Amino acid sequence: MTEQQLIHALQQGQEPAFRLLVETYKDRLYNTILGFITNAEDAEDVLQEVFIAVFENIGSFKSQSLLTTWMYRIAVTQSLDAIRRKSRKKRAATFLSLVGVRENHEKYAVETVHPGVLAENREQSLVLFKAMQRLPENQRAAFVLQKIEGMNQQDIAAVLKTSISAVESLLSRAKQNLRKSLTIFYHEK
Amino acid sequence: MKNNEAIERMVEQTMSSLDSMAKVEANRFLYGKIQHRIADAKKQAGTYSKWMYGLALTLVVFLIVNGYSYNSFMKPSSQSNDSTGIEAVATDYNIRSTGDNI
Repeated sequence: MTEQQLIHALQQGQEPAFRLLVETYKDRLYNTILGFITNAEDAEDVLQEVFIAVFENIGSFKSQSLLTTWMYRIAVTQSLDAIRRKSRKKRAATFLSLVGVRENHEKYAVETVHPGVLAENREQSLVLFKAMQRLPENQRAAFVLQKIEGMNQQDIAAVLKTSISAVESLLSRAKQNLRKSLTIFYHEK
Repeated sequence: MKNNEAIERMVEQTMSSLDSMAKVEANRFLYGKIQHRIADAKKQAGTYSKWMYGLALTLVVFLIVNGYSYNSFMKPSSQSNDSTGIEAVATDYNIRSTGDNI
């Protein structure tokens, strides 16, 4: 089945087409989401939301970009939204604890890395993921798409709806900021 | 205190710690879970729209009743009724606003 045929079948609301879409792309999108949300359970929730968003919005998909690019764009947006929601909850929990209401802080302070990280790199990856959390959203997105998904700059530009030169700049600033954070971290350690 | 060279080496090692990552597989039952969530959302949307229809209906009834009450209150006939009532009271108690009774 070609991509156009798949899109057409999805727009017709054909269930087998949607199943095929989920089975084809779930692993790739899951790995990308794990680059943003390292907790496997939360990442799976976001993955489900991504496919639901695809299911609900496929009617308005105009084929101006590839289906894969569009899905990656949704995955990045949903992941960043989930991070923002989590940060808001965390702030609310901090505020509640300040005013004397006890909240389960551990729920928000989970320290995990992408499950695909090799055991010998686990400790360093954890440091890197923490540093990545402090990056601005667009730098973080570009870095995850390159580092975890292995995308080239052209594909990243398509996903982030920006130019290749902008992606180049984002990646360069992301790496620079990460090096700066890591240097401070290892100095203080 | 570590020297700068050692720190630089650790930074570079950390930066490349994601280079040899294994791909992770998503849940095998993901499609079923998604279908379940879509069905739940549809059910919830149905309940929500029922509530919205109920609320809209109540609002329409409220507006009709209020509009009717306002119209009844503002009708000139209601004033004449009032004056008829006043006249009846005046007749009953033999009160006249003319100079005769003064």
